[in-house]
Amino acid sequence: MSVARRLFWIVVALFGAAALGLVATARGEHLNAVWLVVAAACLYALGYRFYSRFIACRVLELSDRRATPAERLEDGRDFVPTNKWVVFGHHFAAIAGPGPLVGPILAAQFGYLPGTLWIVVGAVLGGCVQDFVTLFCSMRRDGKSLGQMAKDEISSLGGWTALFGVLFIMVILIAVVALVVVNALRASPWGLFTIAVTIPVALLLGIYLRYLRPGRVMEASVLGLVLVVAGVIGGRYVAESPALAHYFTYGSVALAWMIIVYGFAASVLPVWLLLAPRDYLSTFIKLGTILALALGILAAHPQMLLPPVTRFTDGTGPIFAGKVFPFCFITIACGAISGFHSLIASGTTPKLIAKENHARMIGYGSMMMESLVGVMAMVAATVLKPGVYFAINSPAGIVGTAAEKAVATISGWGFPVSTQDMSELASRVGEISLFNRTGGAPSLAVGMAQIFSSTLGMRRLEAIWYHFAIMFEALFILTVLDAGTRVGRFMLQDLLGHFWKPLGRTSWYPGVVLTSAVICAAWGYFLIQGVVDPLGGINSLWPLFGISNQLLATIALCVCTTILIKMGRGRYAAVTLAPLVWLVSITMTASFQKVWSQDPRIGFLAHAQALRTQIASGTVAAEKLAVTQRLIFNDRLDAAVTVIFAALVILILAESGRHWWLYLARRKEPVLSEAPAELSRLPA
Amino acid sequence: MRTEEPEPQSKHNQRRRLLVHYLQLATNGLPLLGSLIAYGGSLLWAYLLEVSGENDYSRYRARVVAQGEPPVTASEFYMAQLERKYSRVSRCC
Repeated sequence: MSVARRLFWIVVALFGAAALGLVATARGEHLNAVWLVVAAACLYALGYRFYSRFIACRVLELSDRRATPAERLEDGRDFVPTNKWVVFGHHFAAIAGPGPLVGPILAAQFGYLPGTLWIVVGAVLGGCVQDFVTLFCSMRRDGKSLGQMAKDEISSLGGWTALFGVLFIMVILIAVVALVVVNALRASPWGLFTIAVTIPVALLLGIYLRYLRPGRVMEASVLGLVLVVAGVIGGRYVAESPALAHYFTYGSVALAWMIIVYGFAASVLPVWLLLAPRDYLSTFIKLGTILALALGILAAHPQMLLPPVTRFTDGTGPIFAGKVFPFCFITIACGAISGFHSLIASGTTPKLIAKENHARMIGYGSMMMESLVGVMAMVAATVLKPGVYFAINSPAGIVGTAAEKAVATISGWGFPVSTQDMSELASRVGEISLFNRTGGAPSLAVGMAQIFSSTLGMRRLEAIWYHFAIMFEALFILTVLDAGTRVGRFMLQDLLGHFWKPLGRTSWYPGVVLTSAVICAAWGYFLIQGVVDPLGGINSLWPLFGISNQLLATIALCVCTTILIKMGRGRYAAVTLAPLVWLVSITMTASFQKVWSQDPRIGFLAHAQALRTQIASGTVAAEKLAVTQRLIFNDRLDAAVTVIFAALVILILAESGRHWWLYLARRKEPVLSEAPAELSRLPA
Repeated sequence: MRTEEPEPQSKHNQRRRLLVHYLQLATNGLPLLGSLIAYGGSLLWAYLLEVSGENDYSRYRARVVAQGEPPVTASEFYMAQLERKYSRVSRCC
C-alpha cells in the first residue's frame, strides 16, 4: 500500500473514531444526526477495505482464475455471468426488506446508541461475513441452497433442522410484518385507500406485462409508480369525505382478516397476475425511497432529540420488555445480522456471479448497504421528540387508551409530551390519532415525513410524505407476505409430497389451495394473536421473529464454519465462529428469558400464570373470560414455539460441533461437496 | 519604476469583459452540464433495465439463435422466469 493510501486510511480511521466518540459520549445535548452516519460510514469503509479483503484473500482464497458456476453452466436462464454491479443491485433488492427499517425503530426505546453500535459492529463482524461466506460456499457448490449444503456438509439431521427452521421463520416473519401493517393502517382511511389502490394497479401491470408488453418491467414500473403516487394524493380526498372514509376505516381485527384473505388469494392466483408486478413496483419504490431518505438526512442534517441511552435499558421498556442484553440484539436482526439473508445468498445470486472476487462486493457490500439503511431508520426515530416517539409506539396495555392518561404516563417517565403535541402532529400528517401505533411503521413514517418536508421546504406536504412513507412500507411488507406465503406453500408441498404424491405437485390445484390455506392459517393465527394482545403483539411476536431469524443465522454460520474446517482453514474458523458464539449466547438467553422469566411482561409462562391467578381470584369479568383463556393458550403456544427454536439451535450446534471435533481430531476424513475446479476463460 | 494607473473607464471595461467572459463560460457550460445529466440518466436507465431483467430475453434469444435452436417467445420466457424466481425465497425480511 502506498504512503498516500496509508495516510488516507489513517485519516478515515481517526475521523470515524472521532465521530463515534462524539456520538457515544454525547450527554444532555442534541447532536447532529450526520455524525451518526459519518461514524457508521467510516466503520463500513474500514471493514470493507481491510476485513472483507482479509476474508477474501486469506480465508476463502477467492480466485478469478477459477470458473464460477455462471460460466461453467451458462444456460442463458438460471446461470448467466453478469456484471457485478447488476448482481449487486439484484442482491441488495432481494435482501433489503422491512426488517432493517422496523427493528431499529423499536430498539430506539433503549436510546440510539446501543442499537446503532449493534447495527454497525454486528454487520461488519457478523452479518456481512455470514452473507459473504454463505455466498462463497453456495457459489463453489453450483448455487446449492442452505438446506442442501447443511445436508451435504454436516449431515441429514442438519438438513432437516434447516428445513424446519426456514418453515418456522417464514410463518413467524409473515405474522409479525403483517402486524406492522395492521397497526399502521388501523383507523386510517387515507393509508388503507393508498394500499388498496396498489392491488388493482398491480393487476393492471400484471396484464400489461403478460399480454401487452411481455417482460417490459421498467415501462410497467414507471406506469405503476405514477398510479400509486396518484393514489397517495387521492387518499386525502377519501379521508376528508365522510361518505368515502367510512368504507376505508377499519379496526385491527378486520384488517388482520383482510390481510389473511389477501395472502391466500395472492398465493393461489397465478404469479404473473399479482405477486410479480407488485414485487417490481415495490422494489423500485423501496430503492428510490431509501436513496431519497439518505439524501434527505444529509441535506436536512437533523438534530437527534432522543438521548443516546434511556432508562429502559433496565428492561422496563414500554414497547417491548427486557433488558438491553439480549433484547436489543434480538430486536435488530436485519440490519446487523439476519439469517434470512443466507437463503438469498444461497439462491439466485451465486448463479449470476461472473468472477469469484465479485462475491466480496456482492455479499459483504450489499449487507453493508442494508446496515446503512438500519442506521438511517434509527436516525428517523431520533429526530422525533422522545415523548412523541413513546406516545406513538407504546401499546394501550401500558399507557392506556385515553390520551390524557397516556401523556401523563409518558411525561412521568421523563419524556414530556402533551395531548396538544400529539393532536397537532396527527392533524399535520392527516391522521385521526397517533397514539398506540405499535409496530414501528407509523413512527418511521412520521420521522421520514419530517426529514423530507424540512429538506424540500414543503411543510404543507407533510401529510403526503407521511402517507407515501406508509405506502412504501406497507407495499413491500405485503410483497414479503405474498412471496413468503407462496414459498412456504412450496416447502409444505415438498414435505407433504413425501407422504402423498399428488400433494407435492405444484400444478395440482386442490393441493395448491389446501397447502396455501394451511400456511395462511399458521401465520394468520399468530397475526390475530398479536392483534388481540393487550400488550400490542409486538412485545411477544417481535422477539419470536428475532429468535427465529437468529436461529437461521446460527444454521448458516454452522454450515460456513464446517466448510472452512473441511477446507483445511480451521485456523481462520474464528471468522465465522465468533459471530456464531455471540448469536448463540443472545438467542439462548432471550429464549430462556421469554419462557422462564418471572416477569409477566417478559416470560410467556409467567404471563399465563398471572392471567390464571386473575381468573382464579375472580377479577376477570365474565365477558372477558373466553378472551383471557385464549391469551393463556397463546402464551403457552409462544413458549412452546420458543422452546422448539432453542432446541433446533442446540441440535444444529451439537451436530456441527461433533463433526468439527471429528475433523480436527483427524478421526474422520473431511469430504467437500465442491463442484470441480475449472480454469476460467472469461476476461477479468 | 512607476506604473501607470489604468483609466477608470478601461477598469470598468475590464470588469465588463470579465463578466461577459464568465457569462459565456457559464452558458457554454450549460450544454455540458445538460449532456452530463443526460449521460448519467442514460447510464442509470441502462442499469435499471439490466437489474429489472428487461434485457434477459434478448440475451437469451441471441444465445439460443447462435446455437441454432428455436427460441421461445418473449411471453413464454417471461412466464418461465417468474415461475423459477417465485418458487424459492426471493425476498427477505
